[in-house]
Amino acid sequence: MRVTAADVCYVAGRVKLICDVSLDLDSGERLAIVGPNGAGKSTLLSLLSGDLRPSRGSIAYDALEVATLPVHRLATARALLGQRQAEDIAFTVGQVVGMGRYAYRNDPSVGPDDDRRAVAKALEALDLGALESRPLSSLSGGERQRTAIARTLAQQTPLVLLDEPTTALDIRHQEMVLGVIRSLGRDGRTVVAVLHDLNMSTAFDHVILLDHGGVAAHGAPAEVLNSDLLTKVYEHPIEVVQHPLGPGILVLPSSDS
Amino acid sequence: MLLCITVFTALMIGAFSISIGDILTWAAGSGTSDAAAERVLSSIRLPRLLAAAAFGAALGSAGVVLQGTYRTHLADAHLLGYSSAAGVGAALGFAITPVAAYPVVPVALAALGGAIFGLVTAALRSRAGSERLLLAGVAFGLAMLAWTGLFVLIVDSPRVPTFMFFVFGSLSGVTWKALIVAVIVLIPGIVVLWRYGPGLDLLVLGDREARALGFDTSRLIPIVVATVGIVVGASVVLGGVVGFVGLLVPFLLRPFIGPRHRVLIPAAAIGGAIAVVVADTLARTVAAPSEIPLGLITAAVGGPLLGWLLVRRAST
Repeated sequence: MRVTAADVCYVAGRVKLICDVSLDLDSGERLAIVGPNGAGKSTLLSLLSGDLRPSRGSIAYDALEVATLPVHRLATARALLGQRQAEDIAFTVGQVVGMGRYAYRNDPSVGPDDDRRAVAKALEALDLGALESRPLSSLSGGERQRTAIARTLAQQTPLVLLDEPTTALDIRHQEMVLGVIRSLGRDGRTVVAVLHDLNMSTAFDHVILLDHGGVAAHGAPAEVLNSDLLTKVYEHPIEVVQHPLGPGILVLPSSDS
Repeated sequence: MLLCITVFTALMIGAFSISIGDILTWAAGSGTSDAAAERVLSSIRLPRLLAAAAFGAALGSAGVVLQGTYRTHLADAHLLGYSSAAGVGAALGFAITPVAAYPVVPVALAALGGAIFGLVTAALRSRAGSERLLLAGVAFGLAMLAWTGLFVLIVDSPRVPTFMFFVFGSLSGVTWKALIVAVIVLIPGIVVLWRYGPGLDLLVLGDREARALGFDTSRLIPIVVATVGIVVGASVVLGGVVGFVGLLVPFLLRPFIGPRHRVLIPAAAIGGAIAVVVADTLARTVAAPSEIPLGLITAAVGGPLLGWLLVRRAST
């Protein structure tokens, strides 16, 4: 699915949270949204998901204007992982992941077997098989986060939107999630993720760096992740160095003193 | 099984006691040896029993659905003000309907009152948090109770039940006509709520997540709470305003049957039916031949039980 945003602005009250953002993503492309706290990353993701309507400009999935799509149609076009996960939930991991199938319940071409397969596949991708029948309230923050990611995978949508997907995850599961994002891209599914860890954005095709609601830079990771630009946007000295173990780059904060 | 035992016990005991043999022969349609027993059973005890079951089913299922919608186990139709709102409509309806008529107008106005109240709170729901809505519900509920009281006192009509009915409820005046009209509204209402079960499940994740998964909160929540208002409205015409059933029954059931609304809604309906049949049997037998208001029993037993459960569960 092709995702396009044309000159999108979002104004809340008198504050411009997002202004003049344009994007064009093809099927299978992966975009990372980065930027300091309050730069408008989550707002942009909400706009792309159709949960917020742009004050100006337009967002489209293929040729379909997102603002005109009803909620149940959106749910089969894109999945959205929110930033915070509810904690006190008596549902089991398997049931929560199964909630990702809600939008298909009235679709005659989707049977219970399809639902079961989608849930099983999502549980396996996030290494949740052993936790399937545990209630969510008994899990750690990282396990809940993985359950939420599995739920968005079970939705099996051509577009996957993730707000800080690696929050609360240990290093092994962070790598697991990056692997899942890569394989989504290989399957031709478009991925947009808000990231706070700049190093993770090197695993994406494109990076958009937001600053105060506007686009500070947009391009391949190697172009956007440069030390002068990051230092200016984050208002903190940042170094970008060659990765000691591979061909990539490494973003490091340098100390003020 | 529990329902069967409850039903037989409720039919047997009362100001006029009837043997189980008499009930069985009467149920088989062969007529009992005792004409008085037969009259008590068919025109007093049976409609009252069925009304108690319908009333409890409405309160139990409404409680579960409101708890799902407001994301708190401390919501119920009584506490949030739905029952009192329906009570206002019921009082108006009773005032303009002859006692002997089918109570179509009271049921319609009570359902309308409940539905309007639901729609107003649904509009406020997105703006206020659960705690604020609970408090606002209590405040609105008390205000509407006061208006109902004023109305009942000013109208002072034999057609309108006493103020006690709108505060503590009672099933003593139930007729077959009232039962039929209420049930025609109640049962489809509960079925509609049951159909929204999987969507109500999603709300536990948050409104934004539920929308992202395909549950249109801004369109469907008003439908759900208006349906709750209609179900509660129909029940209020039968038994008045009664608390604790909608809170306590789901609270007792959740640990055993889990959080899924497709299971919880019918379970709470059956559980509510049993609870109210038991409470009503106590209401009419404990101080026989005089009656204790139903709501006094549910509050006297349910209040401490709920309090104890809340404290116990909070500490584990």
